[in-house]
Amino acid sequence: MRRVFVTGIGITSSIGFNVKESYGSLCTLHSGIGAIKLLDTKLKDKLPAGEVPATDTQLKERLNIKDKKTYSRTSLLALLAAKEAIDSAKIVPSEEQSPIGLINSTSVGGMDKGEVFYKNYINGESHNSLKNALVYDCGNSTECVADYIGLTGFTSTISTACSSSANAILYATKLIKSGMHEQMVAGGADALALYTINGFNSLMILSDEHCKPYDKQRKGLNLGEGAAYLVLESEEALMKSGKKPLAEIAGYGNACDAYHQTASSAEGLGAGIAMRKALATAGLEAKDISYINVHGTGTLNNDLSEGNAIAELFGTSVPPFSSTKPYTGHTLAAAGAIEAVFSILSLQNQVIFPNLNFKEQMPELDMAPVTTLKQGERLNHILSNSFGFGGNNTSLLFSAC
Amino acid sequence: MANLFITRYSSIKHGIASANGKTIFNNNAHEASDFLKELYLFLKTDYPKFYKMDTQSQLGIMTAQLLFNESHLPGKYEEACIGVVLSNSAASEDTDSKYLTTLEEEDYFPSPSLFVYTLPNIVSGELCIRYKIKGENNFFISDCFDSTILCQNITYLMKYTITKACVAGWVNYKDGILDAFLFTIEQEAGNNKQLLNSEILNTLYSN
Amino acid sequence: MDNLILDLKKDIVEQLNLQNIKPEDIKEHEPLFIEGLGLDSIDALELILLLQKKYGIKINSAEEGKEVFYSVKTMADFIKANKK
Repeated sequence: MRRVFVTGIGITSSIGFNVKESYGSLCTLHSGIGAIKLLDTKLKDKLPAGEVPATDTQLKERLNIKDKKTYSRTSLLALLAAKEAIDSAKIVPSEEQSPIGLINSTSVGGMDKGEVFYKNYINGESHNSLKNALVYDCGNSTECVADYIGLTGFTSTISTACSSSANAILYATKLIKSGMHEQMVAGGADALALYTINGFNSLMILSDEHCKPYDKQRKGLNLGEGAAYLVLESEEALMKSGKKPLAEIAGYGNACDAYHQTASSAEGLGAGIAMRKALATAGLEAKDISYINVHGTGTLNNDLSEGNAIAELFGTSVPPFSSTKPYTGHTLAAAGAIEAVFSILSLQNQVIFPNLNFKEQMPELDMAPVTTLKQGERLNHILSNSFGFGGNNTSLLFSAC
Repeated sequence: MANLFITRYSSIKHGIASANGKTIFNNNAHEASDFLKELYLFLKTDYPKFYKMDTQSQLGIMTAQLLFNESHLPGKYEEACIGVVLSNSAASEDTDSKYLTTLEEEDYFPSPSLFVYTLPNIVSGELCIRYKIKGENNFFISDCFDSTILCQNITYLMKYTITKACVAGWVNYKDGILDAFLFTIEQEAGNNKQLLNSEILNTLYSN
Repeated sequence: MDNLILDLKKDIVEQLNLQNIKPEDIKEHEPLFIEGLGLDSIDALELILLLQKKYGIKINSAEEGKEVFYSVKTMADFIKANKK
């Protein structure tokens, strides 16, 4: 089958507005998690989060958007990251070339504006607020990105909770492999919203401290917001342009845990199947994996479940692994793509980013994450895990070029 | 690759629950959730978790029950070899608004049991939990029923992955209206002998 | 105490959407989780909400809730001891 390569990456999160800033933060162990400053929530003094340090107005300024249209915060984050990705791939979409497709993803959508509309509606003040309702749906940020960048190929929106953007990358890869497209943009975005913070808080899985994935004393996750996109191209498109790719999407796997709406099975069955599928599609074995960017949310449930799945698959030879969520928080739908960008940065720079805040190994597992910036050993193949509510588990496998 | 076949289909729409084009149950119940509860009882379903689900997940679960009979799909293939490809336009809109009411200032009690259903793919999760399906699953948001995207995905899954059968379709609950259409895809024809293609799916969905 | 137990049974059926169960079917010493009623982790969170809404009692973690929610009787005892 055709091979698919990454030629551009773009990212916006609490640790940077672009790839350069993000890489700098990763290397200097600078986390973006802290007190919530912009979102006006009752929980802001109780729960730290990875908030992008820019108001919507400031995001619009960065994008040079001067029109008076309403944009959801999710869309603004998406536009920043998608623009960087397409620019970094040195592609200028035009009518002369074949259309480029877009697979976007989100779980929050325009909920930040939907909440505003709802409050106004309840108070009988909706007549000036309808514009907020119009940007509410999941597909709105997809249309915004397609319009802003000029993408005229096949477009779709995936919404599978925390595995959304990993699934977007997976789906875009398949579209290229099947010959439907030569070039695709794939990724996702989610902004913080009152809706989400309160919802996760009601599930009692948020930590009031900075999260500590895979630590015995972990108490839960920190939410985050952000966006990331990859530009994917077929081998043929690459040969025509002569571009040097950043990485190859060598393997991918998706499976359902089929256990509970929001918790993972203790054995991590779905996670295990997804990782195995990723290896199988890449034609690789467990021993070929150089590093795993784990889902590692810092919840009691996920880390044990995922850890068990990794132990079952890798046996006594678990590769180095870390969660980068202590840097950015859990960015929900955007997590898969954000962590894909981090995995590609790892391959490009031959560095493993540490699992911040880790102190004490989990007694149930015979493994501990990498805790310092690590260079030296050759990184060839990286697995990146993203597991979503609904038991939707995805594992992507990136290979060095 | 060999052809793919639509081996069974079911739908819940306009007050009618049907399987393979045959009406199984109809009811003019005004409320969607009442209709689904009556269908649950009519089919002598024994799955108490149904009552805790939101309306969209109840819709998905009952449409799936109509779709599967004892000798069909789950159990016929290995768990990880059955794929699920679902879609809708509403995402989880109805439950989103119900959950939002629990965030109101005067009565601020965010509800966890509502929040867990504020994602469109929870209905896929519920289907997979009930029927023990562990294969690849995806959930797309489209303006309307999009047979092209479903065909593409299913064909890819069956051609290039370990997937040997698929459950796919549309599960949409919006503005009080139930609209669900599910179908199974296998490599062997079965009694219906309907080839998988967009036109046939559109016809089956619209009928 | 009897009224509290009866109220709790009604509340549990309502809050948890147990439409196939009548309050009088719930036995006060019967385990609510795993066996007995077979409630799950999301139900536990809804019960925490119920305690807060109706009785003004705050439970800070799911772990703290485990002993309280063992049965209707343990819930009633806890409410009596902590009600504001």
